[in-house]
Amino acid sequence: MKKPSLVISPSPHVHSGWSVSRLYYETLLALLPVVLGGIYFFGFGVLKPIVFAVIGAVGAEVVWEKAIGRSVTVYDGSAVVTGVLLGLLVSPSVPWWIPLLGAVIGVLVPKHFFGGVGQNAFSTVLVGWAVVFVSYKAIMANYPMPHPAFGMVAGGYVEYPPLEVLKWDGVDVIKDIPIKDLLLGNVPGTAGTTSVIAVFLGGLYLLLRGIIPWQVPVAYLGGAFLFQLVFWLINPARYASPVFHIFTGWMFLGAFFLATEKGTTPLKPLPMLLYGLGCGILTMVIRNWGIYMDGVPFAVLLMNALAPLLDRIKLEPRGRVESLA
Amino acid sequence: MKTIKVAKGLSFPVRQPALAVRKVSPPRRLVYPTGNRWGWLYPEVKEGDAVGAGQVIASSSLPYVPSLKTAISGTVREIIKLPTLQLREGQAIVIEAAEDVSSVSQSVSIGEDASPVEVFKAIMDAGIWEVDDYALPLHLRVAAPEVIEEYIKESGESEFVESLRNIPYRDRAIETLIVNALDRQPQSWVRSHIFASDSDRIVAGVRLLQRLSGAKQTIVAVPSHLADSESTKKVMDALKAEVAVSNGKYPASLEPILILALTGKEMVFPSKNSRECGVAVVDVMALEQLVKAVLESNEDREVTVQVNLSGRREYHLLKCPVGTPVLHIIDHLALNPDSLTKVVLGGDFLGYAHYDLDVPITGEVDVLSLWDTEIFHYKHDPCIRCGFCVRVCPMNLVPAEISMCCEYNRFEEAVGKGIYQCIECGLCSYVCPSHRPMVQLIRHGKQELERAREVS
Repeated sequence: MKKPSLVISPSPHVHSGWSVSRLYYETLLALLPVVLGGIYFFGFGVLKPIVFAVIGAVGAEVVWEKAIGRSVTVYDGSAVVTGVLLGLLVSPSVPWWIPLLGAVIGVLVPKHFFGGVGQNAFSTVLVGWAVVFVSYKAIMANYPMPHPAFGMVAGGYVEYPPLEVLKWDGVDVIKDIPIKDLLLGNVPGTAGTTSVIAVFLGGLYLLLRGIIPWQVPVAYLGGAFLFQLVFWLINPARYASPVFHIFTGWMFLGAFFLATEKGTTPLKPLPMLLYGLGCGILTMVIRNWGIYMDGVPFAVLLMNALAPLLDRIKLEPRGRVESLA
Repeated sequence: MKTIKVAKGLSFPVRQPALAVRKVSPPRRLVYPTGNRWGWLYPEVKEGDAVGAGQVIASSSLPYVPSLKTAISGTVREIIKLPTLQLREGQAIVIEAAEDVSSVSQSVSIGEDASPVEVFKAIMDAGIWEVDDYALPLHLRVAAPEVIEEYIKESGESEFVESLRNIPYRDRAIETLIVNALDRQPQSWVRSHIFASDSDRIVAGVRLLQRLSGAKQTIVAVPSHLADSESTKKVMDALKAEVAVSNGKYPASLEPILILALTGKEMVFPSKNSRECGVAVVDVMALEQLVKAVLESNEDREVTVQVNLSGRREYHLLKCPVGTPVLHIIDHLALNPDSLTKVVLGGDFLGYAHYDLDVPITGEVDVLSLWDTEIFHYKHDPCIRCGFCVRVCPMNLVPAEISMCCEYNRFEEAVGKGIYQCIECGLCSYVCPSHRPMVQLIRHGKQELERAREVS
């Protein structure tokens, strides 16, 4: 009898079916409500920066991996996610090469220079965004208005994103912005940073699927809320209410999509909480006293740098070790 | 009723199929490996010898390796090379059935009112092999220190008794006896089946062990779908035992997790000797074997094994004598052995893949998984630091870091990160999106550390 050829391998012999590509394609699925919300309020123009950012991210990844002789990993979807997220952070009215350049830098510098997917110490999206934002400040300071059908008119109280209004016009003016508009996304801004509900839907999906840990978004939003609550209670004439801050700008996108980028977050529960807390507090610090409109991108980038340090907090393993003779 | 709470771990949907137990046609040829997880056994028979059912065919000079008995009468056909269940190269005794040999039971049969030392001796002679990765075999794990002491006094001086004295934590009293009726891993229902169908034997077995251990507290761990069953009520009333219900998380059934969840005591690693914390865990499969061998003098040594045709989601519960080769079961199920791609003894999460179909079902095997489809392969892709493994590790480790240390031969660093506390449940590898062989690397690291310790 011919002996059958049997596969030998150590246990476990089964797998859950998770894969890197599934992880990123499901993240892409979670971004769908954000993109759709953007299209709803700002028209199909929001797709333009997304398309160029995806082209830049995917192109840079393919060219780089071919050039240095690595196997091309573009099908895992991580570059596409970087591209889509970056596209959501850029106004449709900027020139096409801005998202393209941001995506190329975002994919190459923090990710591929350090070894590829998951090896990025800093968020690919935010590095790409920060480079173009700092380099082309005038071009980037440009935000679309929601479609006129939603009742916004040029010259009204919100010609600028709510946080910009807060920065220049003070706390009194933003009181006029209805919370409903903030939740739905009926305010000026880039597609990813306006609609709280769309981002929350996507983030909830990621949470329920277990793709992102609950600690980071909860600590992020909670930390920012509590920090701002203290200052708002002390001086409501100077500081905006925590509710306004939570529902405005990059906050939700940062908590659910940017701060949780694989490779940049700590792995253990307590460090993740501290990381989220740090992100939230730094965001509020920059918003309250910084020169930038929104604190999220730089807060997350700063905490990215701290993440490996936080991860050194030891998780106490269960069980004791005997002294080995 | 208590609930067994497992921090982390992973819930698997319990969709238990209705399984009827069938008897495998009696095999003519039985194979007995001369080694188990506790060590090696030396054959006491030669080729051509006639052996009777119940005869000891291999034994050890060490007290912590249970002996081996044949389940059928026949002749020793040959002694072949065969790996043990744990895939260590060893020998196996092949016995061919013959009608003209009468059975010679060498078991010590005892009554229900036997003294603890008699129970101790009877269990030792019964040669019970167990599924779980216990540090000590049943009699040494459960016996009260006075019982072992009495046995040592009775037996006089010998090498055997000398090594019995050296059993670690021999002087610790057993306070809690845990009866484990939780299925060992997902897609396995042998233990819950035995618990539901054979509660009389379980009650009798636990009574014996209660006497042997002198334990004040007995806890019976049952899966949630059996929480209100007849057998749970019966066991609860008969034993005055506490019942703890599992919430269906894997790996609630593994010894360190079970002890932690039920008593709050942490085990010592790497020896995993439950005597140290005064707890003894015994699973219902071992109890059934024990009662059959010790109280009923039943030498058929029949075990229940679940056969999973994993590619097709087909499950069978079979009864067969210890020593039935896997090939016999494959023939019984009318499968073509040439079409199989993988044969795993011991379950999808904790089992061993075997290449030789002569490997038998023993007391160490609860599940036999057969694949005839494509096999999943782990690969060395880089870690993407998603943290999935940290979220499921029941021992609170960071498997990603430990496995990376092992991958780059930094074993001492892995010790600092808790490599010894890994119970090898396999969940980290199971959930890893990069398909990294994490628990496999950790196992490799433990072996290398063990080797380094032996050399030094």
